[in-house]
Amino acid sequence: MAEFNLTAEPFLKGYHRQFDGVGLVEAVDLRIASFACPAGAPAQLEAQAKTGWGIELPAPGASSGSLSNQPLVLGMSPDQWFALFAGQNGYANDKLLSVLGATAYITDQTHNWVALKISGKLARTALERICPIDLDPNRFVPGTVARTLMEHLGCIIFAAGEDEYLLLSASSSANSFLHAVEQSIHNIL
Amino acid sequence: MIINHPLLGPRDAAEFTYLGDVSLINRPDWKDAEAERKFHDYLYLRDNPAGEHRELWYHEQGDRSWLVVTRDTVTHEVKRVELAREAALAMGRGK
Amino acid sequence: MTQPNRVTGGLINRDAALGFSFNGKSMTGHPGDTLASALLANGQKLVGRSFKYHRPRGIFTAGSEEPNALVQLRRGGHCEPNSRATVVELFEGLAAESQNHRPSLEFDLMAVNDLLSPFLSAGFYYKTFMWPKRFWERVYEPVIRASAGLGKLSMLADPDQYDKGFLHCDLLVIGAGPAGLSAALAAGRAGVRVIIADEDFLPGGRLNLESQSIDGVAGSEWAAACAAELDSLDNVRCMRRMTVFGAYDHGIFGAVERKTDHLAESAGKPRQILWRIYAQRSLVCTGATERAIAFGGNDRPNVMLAGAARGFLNRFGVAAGRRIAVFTNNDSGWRTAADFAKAGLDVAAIIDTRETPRVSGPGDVTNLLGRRVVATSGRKSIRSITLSDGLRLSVDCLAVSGGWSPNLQLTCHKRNRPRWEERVAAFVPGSDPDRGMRVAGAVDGQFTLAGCLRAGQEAGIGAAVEFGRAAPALELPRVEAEGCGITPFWHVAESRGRCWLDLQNDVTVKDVELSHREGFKSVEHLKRYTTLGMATDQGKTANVPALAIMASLTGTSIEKTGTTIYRPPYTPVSIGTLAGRSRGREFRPTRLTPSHEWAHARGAVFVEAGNWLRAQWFPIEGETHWRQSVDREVIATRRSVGICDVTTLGKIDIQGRDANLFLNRVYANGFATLAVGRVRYGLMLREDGIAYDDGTTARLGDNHYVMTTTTANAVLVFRQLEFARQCLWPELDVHLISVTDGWAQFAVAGPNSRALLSKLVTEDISNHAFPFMACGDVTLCGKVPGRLFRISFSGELAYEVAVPSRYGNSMMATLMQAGEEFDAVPYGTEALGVMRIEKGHAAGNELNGHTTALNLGLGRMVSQKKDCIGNVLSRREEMNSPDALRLMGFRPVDRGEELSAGAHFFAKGEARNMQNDQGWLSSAAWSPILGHSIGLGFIRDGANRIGGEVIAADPLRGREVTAEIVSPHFLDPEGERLRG
Repeated sequence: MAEFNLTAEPFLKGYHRQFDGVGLVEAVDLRIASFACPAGAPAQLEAQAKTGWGIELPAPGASSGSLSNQPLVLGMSPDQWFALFAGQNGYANDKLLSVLGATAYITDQTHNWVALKISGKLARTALERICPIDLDPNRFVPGTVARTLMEHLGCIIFAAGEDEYLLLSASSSANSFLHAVEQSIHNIL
Repeated sequence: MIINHPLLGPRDAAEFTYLGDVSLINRPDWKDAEAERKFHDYLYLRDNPAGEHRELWYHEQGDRSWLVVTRDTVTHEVKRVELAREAALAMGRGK
Repeated sequence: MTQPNRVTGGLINRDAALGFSFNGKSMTGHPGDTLASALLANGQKLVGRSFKYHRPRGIFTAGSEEPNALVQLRRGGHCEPNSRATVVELFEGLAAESQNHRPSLEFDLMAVNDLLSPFLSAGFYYKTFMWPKRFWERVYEPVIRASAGLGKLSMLADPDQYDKGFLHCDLLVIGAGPAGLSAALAAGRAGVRVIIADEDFLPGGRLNLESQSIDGVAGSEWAAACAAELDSLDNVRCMRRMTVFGAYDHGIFGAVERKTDHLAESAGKPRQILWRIYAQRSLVCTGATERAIAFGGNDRPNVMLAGAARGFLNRFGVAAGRRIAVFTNNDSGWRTAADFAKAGLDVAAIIDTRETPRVSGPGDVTNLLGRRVVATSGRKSIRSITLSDGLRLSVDCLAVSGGWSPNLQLTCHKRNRPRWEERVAAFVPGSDPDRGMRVAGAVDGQFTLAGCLRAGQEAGIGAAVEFGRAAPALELPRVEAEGCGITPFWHVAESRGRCWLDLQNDVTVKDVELSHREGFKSVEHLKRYTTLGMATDQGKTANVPALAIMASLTGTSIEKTGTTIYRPPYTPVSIGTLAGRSRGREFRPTRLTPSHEWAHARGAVFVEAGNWLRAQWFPIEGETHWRQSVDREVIATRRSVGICDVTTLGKIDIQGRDANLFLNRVYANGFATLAVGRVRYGLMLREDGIAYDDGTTARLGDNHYVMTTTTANAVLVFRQLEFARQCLWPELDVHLISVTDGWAQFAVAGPNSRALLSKLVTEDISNHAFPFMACGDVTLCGKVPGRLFRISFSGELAYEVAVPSRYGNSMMATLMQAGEEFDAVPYGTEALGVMRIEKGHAAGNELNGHTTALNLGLGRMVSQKKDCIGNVLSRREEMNSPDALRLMGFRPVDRGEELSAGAHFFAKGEARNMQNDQGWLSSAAWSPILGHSIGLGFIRDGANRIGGEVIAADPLRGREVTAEIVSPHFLDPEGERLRG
C-alpha cells in the first residue's frame, strides 16, 4: 500500500493576489464543521460550548469565538452552527467531537467550501457589485455573518474586520466564484 | 420584494423560493377513512385570494428556514413573517 | 467659421476643443457639451427624419425627453441606435449618423410617405391588414418591416462590458435639481445615509439651464457648491450619469449608471452598471418636463421647447436662433425671451395665448397677447410664423411652451394614479405614491425656484427627523420672486395644416380625432390605436396635450380622462445592461467535478449536466468516433474494471434521533429496518404519487445517514426534505446538511473492482466482510479517511468510494495507478448510460415527472403500511389500471437496426395517431456487450407482453423499427455479478 499516496490540493491552487486597494487570497488552512442542536436539548449543547470553548452559541447572523482563539462559531440557522478552525492538522469534526461529544450532530464541512479572504479599503466597493447584503460597517459590523447569493452562487460572508471579509462558497464552483470576485475587483479599479 | 425574516431581518426575495398556500402544512392523516379524498383536496384545492394571503417561502440562499409570509397579493405588502416550523406547531402539527 | 451659433457664457470648457462628426461631417465642440448643443452650435438644425412620414426634424428639447434628435452613435459593434443627442455627452472622436432616411438626411425618398399621409393615418396597419389574407406575410409584413423602426442594429455582438451592483441607503433622492440638492444637503448634513442620483453629468437640473440666481450667485454655481459639499460627506453618495428608471416593491429601485459612455474608449471596464438600490425612504425630485402646443407646422426643425431654447443658451452658450419668437400659454416662456434679449439676440415677439398674463418681459420686446401661431414655413428649418391675426414674422427659431408636466412616472410604477392640479394645469403625484416615498419640487407642482428649494429642504429635514437625527439648522436660500401662471391651451384650432402632438410617432391632432370617432376613447386605447406615447420618449412632451384634446372631444374632464399607466423603465435601458455579466460562458456558473483536471489532461470530452461539466467519454489515440471510445469503456469495465467520477450526485447528511422515522416517511419503500453499515435503494414519490427521485441511503451510525439524490434533483430534494422536516413533522429530531461538494465520489465497477480497491483500502473488503449493499468508513492509502459503499449502477461487482474532495483529483490518479495491472479504464457519462440501460436501471429519462412507481416496475416498493409522501394518492384508480404503462426492454427484431429514444409504439398495421399510441421509448443505446441496439421504454401492459412485437415509430427522424418487448434487464437479470 505504501506505493500509493493521496494528496490534497487547494481548490484554487492557493490563489493570492494584491490589487490596488484590495487583497484577495484563498484561505487554504480553514477547517470547518457544522453542528446542530438535538431537538429539545439546547441547554446541554450550550453548556458544553461554554465549558469547552468558553463561548456562548451565537444567534443566526452572529458569531462568537475567533480563529485565533479557536474556534470561530458562526450562527447559520436556528439550530445549526459552523465551527471554523485555522490550521492544517486534524479534522474539524474530530475537534468538535472532542468538545461537544454527543450534545450535537456534527458534520465535517471542510471540503464543501472554498474560502476567499478579501481585504483592503476597496474590498467593500468591489463586493458591492455582487453582494446584495448591506455591508455598511455600522450595520454589518465585524463578527456578522450572512448567507446569500452572489452571481448565482450561494455564499457565506463573514465580516472578519473593518475592511476584511471571509467568503465561503461551494467548492465545486470555486473557479466561477473566484472569477466573480476577481471581475468585481477589475471592474472597480 | 423584501421579506423581513424573523431572525435575520429584511432580505431580498431573490434569496427565497416560493411554494404556495400555507395550507400545504395541513397534510391529512394517512389513516383517515377518507384519506384519498382528503389528500386530493389538500394537494389540488387552493384559494387564490386577491388580498391577504398566507404563503410558504423558503430561504434557500439563506438560513434554510421555511417561512410563512402574510402578503397582500394586490399590493405586495408583507404584513407578517413567521418561522414555518413555529406556525406548523401552532397549527397542530407534531402531535 | 466653426460653431457659428456659439455665443458667450455657458458651463463649457472653451479652452479645450473636441472634434466629432455628424453624417461624416467634421465639427467641433467643447467639454461640457452634449451632442445636441454641439450640433446646434455648428448650425446643424436638421438632425433626423420622422418615423412615419419622414418629415425633416430638428432638436426639440434639451433633455432625456427628446422625441426627434435620435442618432446612431458610435461605429461597428459599439453602434447604438436611437441615442438621444440631447443626453449624449460629447467626447473627442464621437461619430454620429442620422436615422430613418434613404438615401440621405437632406434628400429622403421615403418622404413620399408624407404625401401619402391621408392613407397612413392612425390605425392604418390594422385596416390595411384586413385584406387580402394572402398578402399578410408576403407583402405587408416585409414592406412594413423594411420601413419600420428608426435606427438600425449593427447585427454584431455587443463588444462592451456591463456590470450590476447593489446599493443601500436610508434616503434615496432622485434628481439633483434645486429640490433634490436641498433635500440631500439637509439630510446629509444631519448624518442620514443618502444616495442622490441624477441622469445628467452635471448636478443642478434646471439650475444649469436657467439664468436665475440663488443667494446672489448663479444657480449653476450654487448647484456646483452643493454637489461639492455632498461629495465631501462620507454618508452621502452623489451619483452622476445615473438614471433611476424604476420603482419596485418595498423600496427597491432600478438604476443605470453610465460609466464610460462619455469616453471614447471603455478600456475593458463596464460601460454601464445596473444598480439595485434598497432605500428605506425615497424622495422623488425629478422635476417637470415642458410640453408643446399643437399648431400647424409645429414640427419644423428649430421649433423647440422654450425651456430648451434658453437652456442651450444658458448652459452651453449656444443660440438656437438669431431671431427668435416665443409662443407660450404660461409665464415660463417669457424667461426665454428675457434670456435671449439679455444675450443681445433678436426677439421678434412674445406670443401669449392669454389676454392678460401677469408677467412682464424685457422692455423692448413686442408682446402679442391673446394670439396664437397658426402656421409656420421653412423646409429644413423654420423661416417664418403666421399668427391668428394674420401677422407674419420671419424667425429662425420658435420657442414654444405649453406648460410643464411633472415627471411623476416613478410615483406611478406601483399603480398610484396621478391627480390633476388645476393651479398648474398638470398631473401631479397622487397621495401616498408608495410607502416610504415622498415627492418634492416641480414634480409636486412647485413651479417656482423658491418653492422647490423650500420643499426640498423641508423634505430633507423631515427625513433626518424620521431617522432620529437632529434637524440641521438651515436657512432658506434667497431667490427672486417669479410667477408661474398658466392658462391651459392645447391646440390652435384655426390651424389648417397638420398639428403635431407626438413628434416621435408622427401623431397629429387629427389622429386623436379619428381615434375618438372610431371609438378608441380611453387613453390606453388611444395609445395603442395611434401609437401616441410609445417608443423611446414615451410621449413625455406629448401625452398631456393629447389626452387634453381627447378630454375635450369626449366632453369629460382631463382628470377623469386620466393618463396611461406608467411602467418602468423611465428612459430606455440597454438589453446588455440588463444582462450584466451573464453572457456567453458567464451565463451561469460552472461546477467542476474533483477529477476535472485529471480528466482534462487525459483529453476527456465534457458534457454540461445542469451547471456541472462531466466527462462524457475519454478518447484514446486512434479513436475517431465517440462510439469507439464508449464501446471500449463499457467492454473494459465489464471485462475488468472501470472508474467513473460520480461526485455530481446530491449527498445529504442526515442526523437525529428520528432520522430513521423521517427517512421512512420521505421514501416510499421501507427504511425502518436498514441496519448500520448497510445501504438501501430508495424511491421518493411526490405527494401526488408520481415518482420524484431515487438514490441510495447509507446508515453510517444509529442516528446518522447519508442520502444520495440524482444530480438533477439535488437542490429540489433538499428543499423538499427541509419542508417535510420543518412544516410537516416539526416534532422530529432530524437535521440536514448538504455534503455534495465535500466528498469526491468514484464508481469503481467491474469484476476486478475489489482487487483494485483492496490495494488502497486498509480495511477488509472481502465479500464476506463487505457484502453487496454494505457501507462504512475506510482508510485510504493508510491515512485519508474515506467512505466505501458497495452499490452498483452498472450491474457489475462495484463500489463507490468517497474521499474529501480536495483529495479527489489525486484519488482519480491513484485509482488509475492501482488499476494499471487490471487495465482499468476511466469511463464517462455515456458508458455509464449504456451500462445502466443494459442493466435496466431507470434514470432521468424514465423519472420524467409523469411516471409512477407502477410504471417503473417498482409498484411493489410503495409501502401502504406506513405514512409516507405519495403513497395515499398513488392508490388512485386511474394510476392503477390493469393496462398501465410499464417500463420494459426493447430490441430490434432485425438486430442490425437501431432504436431511437423518443420513438412511439404502435401495433403493426395501425395508423400512427394519438388513439393508437401505446407508449414510448425513453432510452436507447448500442450495447457493445450484446452487439445490437437496445432500449428502455414504457408500453401499455408491458409485463404481460414479453416476446410481443411493436412498431417503434420515430417520425421526427423518419425511422420505423419493429421491436421486440423483452425484460428491461438485458444483462445478468438474477444479479449474480453484483453479489459476487
